[in-house]
Amino acid sequence: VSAAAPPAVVDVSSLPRGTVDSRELIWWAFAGIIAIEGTMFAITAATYLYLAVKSTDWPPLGTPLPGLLIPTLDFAALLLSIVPSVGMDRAAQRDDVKAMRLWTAWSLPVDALCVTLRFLLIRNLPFRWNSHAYGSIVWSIVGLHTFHLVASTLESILLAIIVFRERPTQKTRRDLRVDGFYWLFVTLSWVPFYVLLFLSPRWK
Amino acid sequence: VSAAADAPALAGTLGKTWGTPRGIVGVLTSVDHKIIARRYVVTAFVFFALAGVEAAVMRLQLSRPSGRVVSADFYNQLFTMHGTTMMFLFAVPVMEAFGLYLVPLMVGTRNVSFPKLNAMGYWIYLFGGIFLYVGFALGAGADAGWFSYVPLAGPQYAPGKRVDLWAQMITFTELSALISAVEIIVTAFKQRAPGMSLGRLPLLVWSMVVMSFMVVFAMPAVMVDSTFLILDRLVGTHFFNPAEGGDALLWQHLFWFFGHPEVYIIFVPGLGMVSSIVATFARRRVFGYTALVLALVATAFLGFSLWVHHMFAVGLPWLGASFFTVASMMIAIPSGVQVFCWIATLRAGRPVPKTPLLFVVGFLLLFVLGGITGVMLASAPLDLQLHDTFFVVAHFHYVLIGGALFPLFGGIYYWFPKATGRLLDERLGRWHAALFFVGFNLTFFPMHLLGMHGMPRRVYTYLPETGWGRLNALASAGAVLIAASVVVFLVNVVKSLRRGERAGANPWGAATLEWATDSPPPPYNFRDLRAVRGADPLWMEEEGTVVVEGLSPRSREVLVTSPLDAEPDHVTVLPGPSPWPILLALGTGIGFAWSIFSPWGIVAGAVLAGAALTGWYWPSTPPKPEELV
Repeated sequence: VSAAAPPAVVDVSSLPRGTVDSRELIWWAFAGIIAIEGTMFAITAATYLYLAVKSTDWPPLGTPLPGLLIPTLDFAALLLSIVPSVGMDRAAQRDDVKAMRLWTAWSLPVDALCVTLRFLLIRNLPFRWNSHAYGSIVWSIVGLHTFHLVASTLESILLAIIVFRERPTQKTRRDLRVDGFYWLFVTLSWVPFYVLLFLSPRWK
Repeated sequence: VSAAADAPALAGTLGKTWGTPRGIVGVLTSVDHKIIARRYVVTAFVFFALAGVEAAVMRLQLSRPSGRVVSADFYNQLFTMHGTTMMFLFAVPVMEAFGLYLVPLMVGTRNVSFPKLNAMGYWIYLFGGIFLYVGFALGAGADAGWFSYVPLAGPQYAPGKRVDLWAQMITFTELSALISAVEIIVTAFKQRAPGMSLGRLPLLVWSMVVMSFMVVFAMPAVMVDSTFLILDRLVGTHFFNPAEGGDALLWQHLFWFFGHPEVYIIFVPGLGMVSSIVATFARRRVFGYTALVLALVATAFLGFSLWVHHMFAVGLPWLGASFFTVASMMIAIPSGVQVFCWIATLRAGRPVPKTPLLFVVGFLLLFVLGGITGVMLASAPLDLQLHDTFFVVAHFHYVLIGGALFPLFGGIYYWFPKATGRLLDERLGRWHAALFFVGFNLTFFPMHLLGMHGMPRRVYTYLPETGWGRLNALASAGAVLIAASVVVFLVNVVKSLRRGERAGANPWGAATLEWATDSPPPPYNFRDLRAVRGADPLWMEEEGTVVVEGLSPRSREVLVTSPLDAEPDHVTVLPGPSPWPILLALGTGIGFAWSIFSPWGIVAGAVLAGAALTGWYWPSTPPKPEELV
């Protein structure tokens, strides 16, 4: 320090130590992950469209379309699961322990329903990944998204254990914000896929 | 308590808080961004040396017609490993490593935003690289070119495990690139010194941010692509199989949607290094700061809209070809803006011709040449003539070596004193620069001519009647000079590490914050964190410095600031050394490697990674408030 005058001071001792909201670094990490995985999802969707445009018949002739009932139930369950997720996030922001535990308790069965319906959806796909390119891309999209769904559900279970084990700390409340943000990404990213995989082949 | 009164005590406490344990525990658990970046740089240069040896063997083979140094099969592995190593294991990691080292120092904070994740990124990169080279050593070196076109790389024409190893390694190591990108973005946007608004961000940090955003949007494409490839190869999907509704060109589209931005990912950080070096050695603020930032951003945006110029030869509609020709040529605009800004800075300043500046001058000449052949190749009709010839090899080596490696070497001479506390030797540095410049041109300029004479890329030999022997001999002689220059460089590094001149905090009289602390920086980077009043804080010190006070030296507290104006927002505590990063990298690595041989690998990887993640996230007991006072 070569200054003639003594240095001026910015005093940060009165600033909050950590936050529980989107200003927190970890929230930004998840924004990064969402940008990366969102790009990945977009690329698989682009692949679907590219292969569709390049084919004379899409789906290939004689291939039954995937049913509509289970995918629609799965879609509805995903949308429903946003409710407890948002509830958890708001409760965490208010530091309302009772509400955090209540919404967490609600979220687990809804998440389990989503995963169950998703496995039913996969079981009922009327073709396999190695049947044709159409099968390959449908299975890949469903598989990639299901991986996210399962990983995110496991994360929710882990958080639920922590929420019930002890009074949620600042870190746990922040994790609930981040978890809710990520869950929103996982559920909403299924909207274009649902339209692409299950509705668009029926528009003819 | 006044900071000046008990400065040594404060430094001692900070050192204890931010230090890395000694011995093997420290090696395996360190989360210090400087230690990790240093490992990246050293590892990247080991891969650089390996890829350099591969190049040397290829030059030896091609030095005369009907060469018999290596077989055709081994030659295929050599050029594939050379390209793959240089792009994935050297260029991108080494550039990101400079970002990981310099960004926290330049924005005036104590570590990157996610120190554990950062450590994991390194381990993934290391394991991925070792994985590829173990395969090569066992005779399973990838052999379908660094861009592994299908159907050549598909299950029918590339049986065995070679391409599997390649595809898995790509998916795996790109994880590391993505991790570093997120680190750099968040550190640059959230941990800047108070007062360092975006308009005062050093150009090197801008270049790292732009590069990182490109990584975020480009790398997923190649990860999806290499995953499709391995699925086609291992479980019988049909993405690239036209007989079952797939499409071979899909591979190329996805690959080049990543592959073209990849080139800019490699040289954009180089441009930032050039701006830093030019400003310091011209002894003035860089001319056209805003224009330079906008040029970097424009390069990034344009970089995503011209991948198809790699595919002119596949048969495109003319309208499409014209679009990508125009988009490709437009890159010359932001590049030109930057070159003129640097020239203006040098012209208006008082240039000091130290080694870093010599490399920058070399860069300016070579980058412009590479740019010119780039504009030539952007023209679809000319490209059809030159496609897959040595002209293309010449072009991209001018862009990549001229545009990225010259600035990188300049950057090494420039920041080596900061990282090690000692200056590199100037005399050896000049020899290095001169030999490298001459050797480079001798090697690669003749390739333009060879390409125009019709010599295709990737042929392991050629007949005497072709008349290509003399120019090839010249190119091989140039390669000897390049090798000599790298040896001079290594000697310089080894010698200077032991006996180099002591650098002091700011040997070049530079303006940015990394020079406001000791060389090498202590584990906590700065004893007194700074706030800044302008873009060149160390050139404004007569106006008085501003320091940040009120962070506890007893925990790893860092100041988080607002993303645009860098106003102090809150204080957060970063994690310390941890064993989980290496364990998670190992778990994921085992999964990736094993899954080539059996689907159980995926299960094993998921279980191991899940266990490591749980350990990673499990809440540790926070220190009691009274311990932090």
